[in-house]
Amino acid sequence: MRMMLCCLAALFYSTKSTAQVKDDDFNILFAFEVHTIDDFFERFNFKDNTAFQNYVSKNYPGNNLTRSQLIHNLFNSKNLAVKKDEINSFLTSVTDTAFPEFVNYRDTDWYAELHCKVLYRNKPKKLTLILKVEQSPQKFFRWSVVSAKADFLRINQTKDSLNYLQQPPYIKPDSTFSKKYFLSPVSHALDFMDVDNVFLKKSHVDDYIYNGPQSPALQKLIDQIKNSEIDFVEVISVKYHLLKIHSWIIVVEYFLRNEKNSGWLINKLFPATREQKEKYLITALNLPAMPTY
Amino acid sequence: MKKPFLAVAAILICTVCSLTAQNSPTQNLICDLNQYQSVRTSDYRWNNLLITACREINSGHYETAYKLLVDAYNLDTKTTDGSPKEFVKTEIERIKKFLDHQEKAAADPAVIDDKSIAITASTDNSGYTGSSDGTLKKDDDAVDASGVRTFSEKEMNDFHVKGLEKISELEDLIKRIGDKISSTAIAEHSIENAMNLFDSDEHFVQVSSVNKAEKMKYPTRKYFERLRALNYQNVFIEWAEFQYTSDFILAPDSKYHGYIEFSQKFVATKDDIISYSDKTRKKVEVILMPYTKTVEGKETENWDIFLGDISVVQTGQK
Repeated sequence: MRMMLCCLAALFYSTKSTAQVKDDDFNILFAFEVHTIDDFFERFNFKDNTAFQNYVSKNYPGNNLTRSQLIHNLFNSKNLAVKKDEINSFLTSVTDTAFPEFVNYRDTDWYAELHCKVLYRNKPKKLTLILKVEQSPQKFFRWSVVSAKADFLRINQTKDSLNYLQQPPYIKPDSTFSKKYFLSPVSHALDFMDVDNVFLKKSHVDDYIYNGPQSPALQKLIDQIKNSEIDFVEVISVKYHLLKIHSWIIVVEYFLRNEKNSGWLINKLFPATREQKEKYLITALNLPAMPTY
Repeated sequence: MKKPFLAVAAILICTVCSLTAQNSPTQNLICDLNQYQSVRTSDYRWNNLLITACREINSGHYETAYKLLVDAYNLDTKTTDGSPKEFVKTEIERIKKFLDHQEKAAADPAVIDDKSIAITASTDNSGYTGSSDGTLKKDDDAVDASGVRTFSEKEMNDFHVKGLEKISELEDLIKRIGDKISSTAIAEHSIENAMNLFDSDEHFVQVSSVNKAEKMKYPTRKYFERLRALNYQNVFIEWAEFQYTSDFILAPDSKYHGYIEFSQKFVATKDDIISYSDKTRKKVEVILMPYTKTVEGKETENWDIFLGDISVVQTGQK
């Protein structure tokens, strides 16, 4: 067992001479990096015959990876705030032989948090957009805006706050997906570079919004977009919140560095009950207090 | 001026190919695009014949691949040394040997049994899975109850190969657009050819750098026109061995969307001195869309791959 762990450590954390680092950066490190959240899902689920699994078996034939080892290496090794005993408890939980847990693109309880730069009434501001994958009855997929956060979206700073607060959350009726105005289902892979369409196609902004309950902040944002009060500048960073795992919340973020432990990695891990998860959706992601999510 | 030999090295096509590259005569013949890429020359006809031949091999059209390779061998392509032609000659012999063996196998049931086992073994190497609910599946080849089309493993492999081919073609054209020795007419023609690789004119290329906060986003045509202004001389592009290819997901436009991520080194020289070099990683959206083809009065549904949005991140520069 100890020997196996040593081999694994050598596989994921081996240090290189300066001359080697240049080549590793281009080939080996690129292969080890967790490239996208899809790649993260594949490694987490220990999916067979992925590009990474085949790369490892081809180049490191002596290393027989286990699911637990692979998930362990999906944690940001530089973040010491995530406690080892919590990681071990998490690993035991998700790799349980009788009830293993998996995460997938089609899950309904994961969210992308986009930190964006915008111009609000021509002034530079920060805006956080919360997106999730939405599936239509026809089995089409798209990314949709489900919530928003910004200082200029705070209800208590607006003159019309009572209008928003006294009303129950607005629920957008289910509508068929527009064939033209949508965010690509693989938008996440390209750093959500098409999210500016939400702000550019003002008359079709509703087509980019999730079919379901809307928070007052999101309603305000939609109004501001329609009134041409906001110009989108760019996405600064992205993180993912995964709430599917029983009793846990994980936050996945991107770390680009010249190490094998790079790419999309778990940077936060919280034990959470069902009630705590519901509270997290409201407080951390600013979703309306509706059980629909 | 003698056109430089443009060496494009190393596209690892997909793990299936690398794992099954060593074929015995009884196995399903597989083409390793990695090897084919490594013998590309500055002759566009040569490159096209080789890439198409590789695709035909992986589609099981061995006679067509054989003819294409013979055509390539007979081209008056100038190569810096004899190795590209030698490679093609070896491939021609390999296919010939395989076809001869197939012919014999038809008359020998023992060999046929052996072959069917080998083919089953090779199909198990596929890395593509998914569900019928909007994500492409590897095992079925039908339309499910909800109307979602699913594809066979072989079709899936073909789509990924096609995606990589289109990206490779785009990189060739980008090189030609930015190459100082390309005339204006050639550059403009190359831009048109590059635009034809996309499913519409409405896509964008986002360019960013790990060293700069600023991200620039250009419509594809404008991006190519900007490349023309760069005027590089003697451009070399090297691909990293590893690429990440995603599953395809059904979008509201009834097209399947996926993506490929890869890393490249770009080097431009002037008077044998490196004038510019950088490392980039590119993520390219690939879009699988249906089209109908009429053969002998009968309409059949076919699928082709086009490119979508592109993200280019510069990770190093000299």
